[in-house]
Amino acid sequence: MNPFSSGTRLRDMIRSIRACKTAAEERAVVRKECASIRAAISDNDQTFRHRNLAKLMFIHMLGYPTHFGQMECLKLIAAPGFAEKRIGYLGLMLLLDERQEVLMLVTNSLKQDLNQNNQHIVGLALCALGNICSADMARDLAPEVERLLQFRDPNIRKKAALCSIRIIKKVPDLAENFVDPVVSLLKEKHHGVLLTGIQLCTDLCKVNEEAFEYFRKRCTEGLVRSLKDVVNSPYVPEYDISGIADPFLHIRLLRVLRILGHGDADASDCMSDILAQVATKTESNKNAGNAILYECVGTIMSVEDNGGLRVLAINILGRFLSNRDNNIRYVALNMLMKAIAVDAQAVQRHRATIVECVKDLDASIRKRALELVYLLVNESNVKPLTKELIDYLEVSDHGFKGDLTAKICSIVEKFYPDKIWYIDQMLKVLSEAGSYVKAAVWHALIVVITNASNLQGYSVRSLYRAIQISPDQETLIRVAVWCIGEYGDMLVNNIDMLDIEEPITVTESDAVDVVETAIKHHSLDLTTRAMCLIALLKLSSRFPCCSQRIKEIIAQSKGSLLIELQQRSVEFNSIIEKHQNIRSALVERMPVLDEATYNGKRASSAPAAVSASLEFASNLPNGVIAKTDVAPLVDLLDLGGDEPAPPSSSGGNFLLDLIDVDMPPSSSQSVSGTSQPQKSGTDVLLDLLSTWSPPPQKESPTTDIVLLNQDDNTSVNALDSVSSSMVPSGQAKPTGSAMMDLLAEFGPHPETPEDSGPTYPPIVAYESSALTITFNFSKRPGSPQTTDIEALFTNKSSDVYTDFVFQAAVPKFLQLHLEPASSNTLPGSGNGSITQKLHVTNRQHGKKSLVMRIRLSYKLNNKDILEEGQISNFPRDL
Amino acid sequence: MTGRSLHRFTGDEQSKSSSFTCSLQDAKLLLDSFNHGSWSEGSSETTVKEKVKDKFRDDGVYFSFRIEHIHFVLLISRQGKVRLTKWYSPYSQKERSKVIRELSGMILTRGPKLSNFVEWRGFKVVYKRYASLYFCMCINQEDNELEILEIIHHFVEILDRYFGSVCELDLIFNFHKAYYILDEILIAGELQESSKKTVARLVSAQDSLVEAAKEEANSISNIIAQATK
Repeated sequence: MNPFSSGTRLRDMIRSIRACKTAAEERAVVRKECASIRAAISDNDQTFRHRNLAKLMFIHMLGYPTHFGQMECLKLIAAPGFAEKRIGYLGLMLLLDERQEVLMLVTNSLKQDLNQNNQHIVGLALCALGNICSADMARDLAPEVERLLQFRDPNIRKKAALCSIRIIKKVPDLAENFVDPVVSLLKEKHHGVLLTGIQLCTDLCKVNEEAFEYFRKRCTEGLVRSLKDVVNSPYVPEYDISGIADPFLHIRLLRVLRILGHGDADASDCMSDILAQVATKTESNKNAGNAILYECVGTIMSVEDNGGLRVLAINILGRFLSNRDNNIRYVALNMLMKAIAVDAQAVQRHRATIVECVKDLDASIRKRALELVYLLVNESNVKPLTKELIDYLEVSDHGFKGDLTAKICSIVEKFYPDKIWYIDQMLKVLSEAGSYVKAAVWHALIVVITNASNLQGYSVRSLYRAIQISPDQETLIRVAVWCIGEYGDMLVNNIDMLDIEEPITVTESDAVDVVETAIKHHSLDLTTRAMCLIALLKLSSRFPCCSQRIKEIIAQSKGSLLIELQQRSVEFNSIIEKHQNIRSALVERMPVLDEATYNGKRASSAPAAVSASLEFASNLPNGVIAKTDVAPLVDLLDLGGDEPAPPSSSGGNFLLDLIDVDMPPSSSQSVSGTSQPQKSGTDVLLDLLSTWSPPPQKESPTTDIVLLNQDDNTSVNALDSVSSSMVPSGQAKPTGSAMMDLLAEFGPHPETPEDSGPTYPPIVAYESSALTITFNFSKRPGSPQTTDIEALFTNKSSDVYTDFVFQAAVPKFLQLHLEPASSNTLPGSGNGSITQKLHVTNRQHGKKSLVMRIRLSYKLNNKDILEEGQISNFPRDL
Repeated sequence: MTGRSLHRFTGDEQSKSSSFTCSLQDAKLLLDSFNHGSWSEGSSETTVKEKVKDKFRDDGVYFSFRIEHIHFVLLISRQGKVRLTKWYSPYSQKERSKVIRELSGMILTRGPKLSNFVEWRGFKVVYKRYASLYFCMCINQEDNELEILEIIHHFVEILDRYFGSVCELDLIFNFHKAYYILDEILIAGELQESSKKTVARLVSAQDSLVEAAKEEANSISNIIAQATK
């Protein structure tokens, strides 16, 4: 024990650290100090133990590792003196948290200290326990804390009450023990004890229903009286904050009444007078008063209906909303969101003010206000609100544009009164903040345009104008290029002019100019350029006079470094050059895309494998479509023969996608029929075609896939599966074919007629030596996120399993719902099985696949057996 | 009767969102704290606890599984230096420094006229600037922000009374005292005392206990020192 080894005083250390000019200097000082503290620890130096710990705490606050000091805390806590204990407990709370094993070692010291006579030591122990206790400690020390709720000194009682909150949150089973002590705490006059007693009561209500009912019956009146007392209490300097006696107590009383009054008319009645008094009499020129009013409004909203009070509450929020203080406006917006559920009309009255808040300087307020506006929109006010928001979009800052755009798009899509308005608004958004618009949104816009046959001309002309004004918005360019490709003739000839439109004169070469500019634009990505190429191909047929120029533009991409562009350029070039006769049929306008299908698909948010309705398939002018489809197929086969290089995998995909796009099931036969003579094509094609032939002729590689699809019609599912099995790399679609995928997405997917969605093969989810679990999957129509799983448990042994219980746990992005099992006895040697249904909702559908941990417990010959496992072999896209 | 999992249970609450619902973060904390809380089971018995959950879930109104009222308290100087940290919810050392970094980035850059609330990771951080120090407290979405401002002010007034017009240097050199005071105001993230006088009295009573112990120690060591001379 060398007193000189412990170095400097705490104050000196802080000074020398503060004197450091660079981070390196500071590190050096800290290192030196840490070294001497470590030395002192290994010497077991007692004289300076508390000083060393204080230094460590300071070092800890600077962010340096201090784990080596943890044991010192325990030693100090175990010391007899108050001074040592005080710093020891402080260190414990600062350096450790509830998850550290070391904490268990302190349980015994805590127990001793809780039984001490010195109230300050008891206080320290309670404070530490309240701040960092773990579930185990809570269980061990609950009796001590319970006893301390009746301690003679009120300051210990209040600490014990807060400590109890921590305990019942960690171990809810212990809640019952605290009910009776709380009843007596609630009768106390000491503000600290009352305050903490009310908090404990609130938390007990949350974890234990019996306690909740008990308090509601026994304590509501008493609490209302306490609130009356504190509201009407005369001036007490000790508790006074800006003219209000103990606002903290006010707020806690209001909060517990909120819980007790919720869903109970009697209790609500009992408190309505005092709530009205608080709502009307509280001074609102200081923060403390506003805090009480805010809490009071929350309570009024939550207790059972009382029209008068609600009006009062909404009026308070209205006053808050017009307050100059940002904080007050913020909480008003916050509370109005909750008030919408109660009285939407009243909230609507403040619409103008709320919309102003969207434009506030303060990001927190903007965010709240935008969310509130979003909730406020309905059919009748969508137009003015959207106008406000779009106008604001122009000037809003970048961080906010994403949120704002998403909300505007969502509002427009949800409530549009007519399509022309929808198109107009979307164009505005695209020109203003195109880069923030999600792909699904502009896809939907295209779907809407194709469906509105009388607006196609208008749309393409508006897009043309918009693109002249904002030439840098990529999403706008994509939509414009697509529409010009499809409806270029309408643009040039001013077909379907609406009365409101100003006529414009656009020549054919102007239209081609737009696409040319786009394809040459340096910052645009592959998808846009691929879309441009398609548009050019289409225009070459629509504008024969520009055909030569278009051919040249397309040819420029022949040398593109991007293989996808290069290939398209070569292919399209050859279509223009060599296949004049079929070109016009090939590039006919896209068939109308079914809105319902697309919306359903969007809801599922999965690009592949989505159901299409039968009505749609039959609505198609089958003859025409079949003809146009056969043509490209033939053509491509030809192409395969012409080009020296064998078609790449993406060529196969292209073909697949084409079929994918436009092939109703009824024409499948005709496709294979027409294609048969072309057998000179590549293997890939043959493979592909083979999938179109009826199942009995299936070739081995595809057989099992198709077998899964036991419907009569060879559904697109099978095709999808084939396509993935064909691409050697195992990837379903190379990213390069994004454009084609895009088309595929818009295309009607001829699929299973009963809208039953895709089917998935059953999996063996779990297998052990004792049993097997098999999962069968099904999707509910219309809710692609939800998967119904039927679990089948079979016993592999010859013994009977009794008390069979299956449990499952899933990560947070999933929601799991289990139905009761068909039985809890699993007979042996395959004499029967148990089935149990599970419903899983995947909130990240399309992004993450399912995963599940399972646990099985059962009794075998009266012996408990537990098995656990993880299931991660779910089919994708579930 | 259906089996249930806590995921589902908390998730539903959020989707209903008729009013004060719990946030996903609460659910996370909840799951952290319940080791086996996430098992769902298709059992056919109904325990009382399940009934409670059922009831509250169906109401979906105020029931929130929060661990603490206030998750943590931070004092950050205008230069971004940490002056005091108190964590009422478990955060690992790594998370703590990440939180401090994130929050100081957000709060120190805010203009003077803006509101005192910042939304962060589904929580709210209420902050208030006193001279060169930012006092920050993190709470749940549904808590009363204005009250937290009052609690911050309460804390500052008590510090002021204790140190006699407190300044940043007081809190640097006497950081442990600031912690002692905070421990008399908050436990487990809940307010324990609304009277400034009581807090001051309790802290000074404990201080004098320490002083007395020190004097005693000094006198003993003096005796020893004299004896060994």
